[in-house]
Amino acid sequence: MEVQTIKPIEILLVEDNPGDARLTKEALKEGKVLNNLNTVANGMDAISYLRKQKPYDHVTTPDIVLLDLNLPKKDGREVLAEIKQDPELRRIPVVVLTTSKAEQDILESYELHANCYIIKPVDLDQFIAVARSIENFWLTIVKLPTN
Amino acid sequence: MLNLSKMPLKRKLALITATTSVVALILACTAFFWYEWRSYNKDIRSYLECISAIIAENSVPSIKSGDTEGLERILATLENEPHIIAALIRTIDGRTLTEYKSADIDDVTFPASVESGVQFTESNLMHVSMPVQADNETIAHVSLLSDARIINDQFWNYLEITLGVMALSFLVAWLLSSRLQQIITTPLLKLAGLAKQISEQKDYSVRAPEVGQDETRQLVRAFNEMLTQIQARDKILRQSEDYLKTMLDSVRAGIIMVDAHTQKIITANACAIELIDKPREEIIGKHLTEFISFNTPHPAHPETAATNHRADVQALIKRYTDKGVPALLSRARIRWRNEDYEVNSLVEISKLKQTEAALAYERDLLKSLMDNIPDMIYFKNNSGRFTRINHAQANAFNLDHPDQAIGKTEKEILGHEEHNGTDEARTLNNGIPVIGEVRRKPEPDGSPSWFSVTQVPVRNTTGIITGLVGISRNITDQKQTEESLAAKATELERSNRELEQFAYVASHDLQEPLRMVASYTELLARRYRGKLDEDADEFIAFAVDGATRMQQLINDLLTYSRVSTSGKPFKPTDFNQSLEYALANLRMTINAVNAQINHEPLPTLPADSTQITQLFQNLIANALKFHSDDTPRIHISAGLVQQQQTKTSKASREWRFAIRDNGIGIDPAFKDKIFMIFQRLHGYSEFPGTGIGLAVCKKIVERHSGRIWVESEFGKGSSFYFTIPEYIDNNGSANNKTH
Repeated sequence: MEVQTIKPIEILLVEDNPGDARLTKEALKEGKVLNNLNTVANGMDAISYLRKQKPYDHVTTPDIVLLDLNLPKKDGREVLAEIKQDPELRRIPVVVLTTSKAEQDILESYELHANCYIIKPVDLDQFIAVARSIENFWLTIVKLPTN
Repeated sequence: MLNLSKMPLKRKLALITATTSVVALILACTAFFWYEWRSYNKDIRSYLECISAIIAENSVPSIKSGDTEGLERILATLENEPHIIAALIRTIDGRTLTEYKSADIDDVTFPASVESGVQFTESNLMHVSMPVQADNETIAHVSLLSDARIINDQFWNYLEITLGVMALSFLVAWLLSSRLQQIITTPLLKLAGLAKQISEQKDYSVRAPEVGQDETRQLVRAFNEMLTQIQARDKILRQSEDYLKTMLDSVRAGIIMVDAHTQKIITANACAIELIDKPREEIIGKHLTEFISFNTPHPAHPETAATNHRADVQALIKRYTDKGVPALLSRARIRWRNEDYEVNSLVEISKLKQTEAALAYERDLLKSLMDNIPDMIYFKNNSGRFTRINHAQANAFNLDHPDQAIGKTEKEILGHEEHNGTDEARTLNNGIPVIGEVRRKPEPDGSPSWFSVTQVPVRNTTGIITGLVGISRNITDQKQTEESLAAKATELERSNRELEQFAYVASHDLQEPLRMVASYTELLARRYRGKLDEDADEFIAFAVDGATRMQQLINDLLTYSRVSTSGKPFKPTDFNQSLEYALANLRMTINAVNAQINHEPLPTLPADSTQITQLFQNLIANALKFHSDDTPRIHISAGLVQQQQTKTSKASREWRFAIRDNGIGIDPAFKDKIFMIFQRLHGYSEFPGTGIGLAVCKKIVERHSGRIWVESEFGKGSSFYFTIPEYIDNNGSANNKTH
């Protein structure tokens, strides 16, 4: 094992449902990768967090964003569009994690350059499996740029 | 006297031949007789002279010696000559020395002349006198008398024989010529027979055979040539006669030609014979009035009628079978080859009379229709003036009688023009009809009333528009009903849509909190199983199970509502393909139960292919699920059937699909219930499932304007049937539905 693992992976979870947020956290907790999961509950906060605007001026730029689509204040699609239009932020992989199975949402997300689109499984076991997969793929297999 | 010209040719010929031969014979015989007569005379003279010379010579000694006895003996030798009846020797002074007489002669007188030679006596006896000379000196004369009659007798005998021969020759000549004349007459008679046959049978195509080399052949040839010419002429004649006859017979009017004076029928064409309805033989030669009676006195009067005089009269063709046929008779008088004829042409007018009756019927029908129909009917001429209206229209115009509208415009009647003036102009000028147009007209009290107006141009036989006819009906009640129905339908549609939306949204929004419940109870189970007490474990298990089933129900509900909310437009769908997809989706289950699935060729129909796949998938999954102990066998078939006719739809065709299995079957009591949402016939532990599958099937089939049902006997398998119309519009309603 290399020293890298000492430094935890920074994950930003944009999720208005605390239940889901907690569930994601619990799922990732059971994983192998040392991570630092930060949660914001709406789109406005997500953008502020990423641009390190107050009150997020001390946070670390996340290595990956897990984004729900249906968010209060600023919609997930808008957040996605803003991230991908921002030259500073667009390198950050955005995983759309939502309950929507709508074809329209899937297509729109990819057109806004989402890095992948995942439908939240209803079943807990599957949810954990998906969380693990995200961890496995994005945090282990994929080589992300270093800040 | 025989009349030679009347005598048959063969007899003539025989007679000519016989006569000729007899005449020749007579001439020959005459010549012969004449010659014979002469030579006989000559002979007998020389004979007599010779005998007398011999006697003279022989008597010389006896005379010298005066031996009378010797002279007698010499003369006695004449007995051998019977025709010499007497002889005399006398001296030159006329003294008789001796005399001889034949026995049968009594008395003879010798002529006194002693001139030498033969002379005839007065009693027609030949007298020969010969001088007896001695020493060149006449000493006596010998005279002989010969009876010429004996010679004549001989001659007559001769003549008789000749005549006999002649008669015989005539007979022979007659018989012979009678036979021989056949050589000439037979061909002639044959020719004559042929000519007779031709003239009787009018068959000019026959020809006489050319036999022999003589003039008969020339005659036959000439005869044949004549026949050829006659045949050609006859053909032309017949042709023109045929043309004329065909022409006459094809005329659809009866033509009867009569003698102008006798009024007897000379000829009649086919139509005339048909009209009179009697055989031709019974018509020709009869008086015209036997068949036709004239309503007015027959104007034909031979004396007064001028040539080519014409007259038309009403007539009645007499018939035994019925009252007679009314006809129009047109008569023309013609003069042809100094004879007067009348040509009568007959036209049956019973049809005309029938037509008149039919027209009257039609007129009455139209009148009764117009008078009794509640619809308003009006006719206008092409200047927009009414030519006729019915009572209903008169009532609408507040007129007492329909005739009051005639000749007036709408404006003149109502005081204002209806707003359909442009339509009327279009109908009158361009022939554009108005069909069932709904028009709104305000009632006097201001409430709206509705009319359905149909207005079409009226054309004359040449197609020129002479006016228009319009029918309008008050449809206010109908319109109001329609409007309220349409409003209800819209309301129903909206409420339906809302309900569907509600179901979708409700189930969708239910999912979120439910996911929380399910996830955290599951998390509880994972984290705390065995860490709390047994009851807690059991409670958690029930909570998890309930949440899972709730999720399934919501998913099913979503699927169910999506059939209508997420349905795609209908496109031509190959049902074979849809079935293949369904089978591919079910592959694992099929393999697990080792099912045998086969299907017949399926059609391509307008449908939502995804839903058809789902339909097959649900039905086959159902069959696989409820299999019996036997190997599951599923058969899918399809056939074209005539659709049931209902009040609102015309009969059209639809495809009926059948999915037959050998599974456990369904109690017929439940055959309708199984298609209802969340209806289950079995315990959850026996056959898991929410009971959504067949409800979805029903919804899919109904979206395709079809029907679904099951026929089954418990324990003997089931057959699920569904229908899809052959034609269907893109909105998902069959073409036969009326809105």
